Amino acid sequence: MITMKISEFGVSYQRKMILSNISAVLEGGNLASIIGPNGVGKTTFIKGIAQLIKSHGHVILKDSDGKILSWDNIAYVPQMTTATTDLSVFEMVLLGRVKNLKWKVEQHHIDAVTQILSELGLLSLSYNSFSRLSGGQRQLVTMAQALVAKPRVLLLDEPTSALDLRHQLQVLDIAQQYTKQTGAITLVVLHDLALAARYSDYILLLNKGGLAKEGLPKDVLNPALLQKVYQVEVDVSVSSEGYTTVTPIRPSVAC
Amino acid sequence: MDNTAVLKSSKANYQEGQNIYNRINKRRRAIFFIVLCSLIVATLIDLMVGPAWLKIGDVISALRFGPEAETINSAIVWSVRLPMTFTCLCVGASLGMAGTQMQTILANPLASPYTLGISAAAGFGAALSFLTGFPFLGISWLSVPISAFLMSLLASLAIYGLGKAKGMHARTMVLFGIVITFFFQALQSLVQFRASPEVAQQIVFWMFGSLLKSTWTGVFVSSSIFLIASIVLSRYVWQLTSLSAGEERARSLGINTDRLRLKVFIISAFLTAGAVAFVGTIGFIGLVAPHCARMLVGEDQRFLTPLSALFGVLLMVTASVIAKIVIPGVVLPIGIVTSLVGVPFLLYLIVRRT
Repeated sequence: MITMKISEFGVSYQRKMILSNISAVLEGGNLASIIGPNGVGKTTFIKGIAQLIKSHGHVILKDSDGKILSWDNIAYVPQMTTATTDLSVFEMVLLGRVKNLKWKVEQHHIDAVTQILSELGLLSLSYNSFSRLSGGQRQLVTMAQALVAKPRVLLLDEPTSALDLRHQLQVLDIAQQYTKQTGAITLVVLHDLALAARYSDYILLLNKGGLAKEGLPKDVLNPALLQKVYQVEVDVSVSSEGYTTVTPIRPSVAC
Repeated sequence: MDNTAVLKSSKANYQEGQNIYNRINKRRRAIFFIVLCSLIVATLIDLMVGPAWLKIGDVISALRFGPEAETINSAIVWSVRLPMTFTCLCVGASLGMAGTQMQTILANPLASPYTLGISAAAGFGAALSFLTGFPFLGISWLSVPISAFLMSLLASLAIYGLGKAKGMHARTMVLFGIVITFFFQALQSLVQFRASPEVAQQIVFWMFGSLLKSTWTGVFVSSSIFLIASIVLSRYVWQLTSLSAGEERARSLGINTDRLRLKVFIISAFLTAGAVAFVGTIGFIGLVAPHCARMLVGEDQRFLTPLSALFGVLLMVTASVIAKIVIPGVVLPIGIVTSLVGVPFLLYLIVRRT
């Protein structure tokens, strides 16, 4: 089983500290959510982990033998942006293996793309232009692009934003199943606390400048802590189906 | 789409995937073949057309018997037409390829060697050389191309340096390109203002872009640059394809986009410098050819880059034929023809986008 050890992690931009002193240990087979109010640095944090922006501190990835793994084992899925490319779905997913592609695409890459598209039920969309897909379909193709590289760590930046309820569940189901099936570590930035409660094995709650709390969903999603961080009175309850729901009641008086 | 199927563990039908991949590329190969055939035909027509019209049989026999055959047709084909046609091939291919790469790395459909000011810099280099008449290594005819070549590299370096200082953002680099264009155009006007009427005339003629300046040396230099650039670029085709899907996406796939942009920009600068140094300013090829290719084969750079080069050549050769037949007995400067064809196309692009 792999582990990711984050210690004294921080990000500064133009001499201003945005995040500092974040430490956590994440284990393979677990899906961890990063939650927090707007502007606290959730995307900055996940981009820092992906090494897309400069950060300080240490993030070490080790396999079960204690061997340090390279960052090639990480796949990052950015927030959904407008797509102008006319590449087909098949080609977009193929680009998930861009680092290993040669001029003549080897058979095993084509097979891997076919496999992941079949698994996600997307093979019938193979010829479609990526930019002409619906938002939900685009997000699924982007997930397929990340998963085709068989990453050991999957980083998802707000994968459910702008998606309808059905696609929200579908995208997170895929992430959860991949995590459990392959023993990968998945980090997901989420705004919806009910989805975080439903899918997370672990939650990192960020507040201005750093980590407010980390732990199991039942420990992090407590009304007093959420009220302090979000400045909103909330009700945390369990539905008849057994899912935790977080309902905002009203802004706190201090707000 | 089967929405309930989430990460099914069953084996996929790999043959189906292979068929999909083959079908995506089959159409592109067919287009590539058609454009190549059109190009061969256009090249033969270009060899036939000129102040002295030759029959196809005359051209083929002149090519077969080589430059040693002491006939008029052989002299026309080998000494006049072939250097011009080969110049078309090298310049068109280089500008087509450079234009594609600039549009890809700067994520701007209007980016091209012409619009980024690299051609304007070459023009200033040439003008300066005409004015000073300084011979390069004692060889006077080399001074104009060398000066144009160096100035286009200098302009590219300036755009790159300014862009890097501001984080290599595509939009910033395009704006710097526009600044560079105005700057070198102003310098060139200054040189023209200071020059004697004879020198000013030489400068103006150079700026038209003319195949009459074609030499085998020019062909050798620009074809060498094109070959080296093609080999180097072939290593980055997939990275460039990823970049065409968006900066953020390419970075998320682990591509160092800044480094890629730097390498490809340098290659494009050399391609442009090699192309314009010997024949003068040729506008719009680097803008139009990539759009034609992109409309037909999409963003896969394995097809887009070579097809842009082919379209660059096809446009150049077609312009060369037009330049020779518009006014009988006179060869119009090809730069005028490419611009006349390019302007409506540019207008079409802008109208389509808005």
